[in-house]
Amino acid sequence: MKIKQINLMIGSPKGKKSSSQELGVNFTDYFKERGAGVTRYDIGSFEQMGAEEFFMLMNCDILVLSTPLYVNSLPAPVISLLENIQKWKQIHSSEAEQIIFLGIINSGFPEPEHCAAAVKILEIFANKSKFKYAGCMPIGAGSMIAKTGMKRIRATNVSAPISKYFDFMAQEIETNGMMPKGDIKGIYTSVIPEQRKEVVYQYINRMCD
Amino acid sequence: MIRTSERVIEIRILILSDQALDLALEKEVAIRYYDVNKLAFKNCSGCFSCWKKSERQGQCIYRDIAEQIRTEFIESDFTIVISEVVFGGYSSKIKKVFDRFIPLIPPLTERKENRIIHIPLFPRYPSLLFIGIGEQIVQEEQETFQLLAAKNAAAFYAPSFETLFLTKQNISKCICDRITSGYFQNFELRQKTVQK
Repeated sequence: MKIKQINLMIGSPKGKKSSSQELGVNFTDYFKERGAGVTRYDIGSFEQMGAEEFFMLMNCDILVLSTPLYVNSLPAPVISLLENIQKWKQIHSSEAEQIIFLGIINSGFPEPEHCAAAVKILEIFANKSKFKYAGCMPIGAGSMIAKTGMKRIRATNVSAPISKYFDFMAQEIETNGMMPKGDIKGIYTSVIPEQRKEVVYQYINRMCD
Repeated sequence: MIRTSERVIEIRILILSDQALDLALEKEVAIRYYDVNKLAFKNCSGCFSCWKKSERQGQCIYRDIAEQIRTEFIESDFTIVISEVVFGGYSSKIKKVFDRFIPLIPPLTERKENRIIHIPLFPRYPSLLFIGIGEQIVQEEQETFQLLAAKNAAAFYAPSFETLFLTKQNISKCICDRITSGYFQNFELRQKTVQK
């Protein structure tokens, strides 16, 4: 499948300083390196979005939402955006039928399993809005990513799974149009390897105490 | 405060709703009710200043009605969350309130059952009743709503919680019936029985 255009929605109110941005950009880099165009949209830009901007947002092969997890779910402005996208899709049902939708959700907790409800919400949204749902990538310890930087993570390979995970999922989407299905725990990944988690918890607690 | 003919039980109830309610209750029943559609307050900015070690730890940078709701939430015995079911979750209006509850969840964590959870900041938290509103809520959405409610109940240390699904027409009557029938007095006891 030739991917020409990806539209990347950043769900964090922190925008360019966010882990959501770091993750979204790094995931889409796989396609960018293969000639696809990538356009970023910050959540703040959707507040005054008119019909023309919605047509632009939907003019893509893949629509990616990269968002943080707030209180076990998606941030309120992201839910509002999804509601508006669904309304748009209901009116313009003939257009944008072939768009692939996928999500990247990052939780501050080391365990990505905290994203479970938000993953289901995105799946229901995608199916109700008649996107081709490719799946969702829940990431643990996401709040550390902006501080560390994905380039450094990729370069040093400290957190082994995440960069490989992104590239693997991107290849699957390119080949099959979706991520592999299976045991949901199997597709969760964390920035922090299991054996390092205890050290990280202690570090976080010292910072906040 | 709920007064029955036999006894007086002081129960503080907070209602957060994205639906207009008509609560025709007796005068003795005191409830704090917020129609979130009518509230003007800011979205969480994601700055997490409320978690950082400072004099303002536990406080939000925004001083608006959400601050008052947070206080009333912690001081309530029961909080009823009424939300339209949107993709199996809460509506953006209700979620906006929950996002502003982040200062109530402390940054300190502990390991419990091989998972990391936050350590409670307050000595007590309210029990929660989540009411999902919709005309035709499919099973997948109901299950997701229940999952989210369970996770939120755990995040806010609710001593007990329950999830219901209603249509718009039934909400006010359902709440009034439950208040007058002593539902909230028996809530925790009943939940503990159910959990067993």
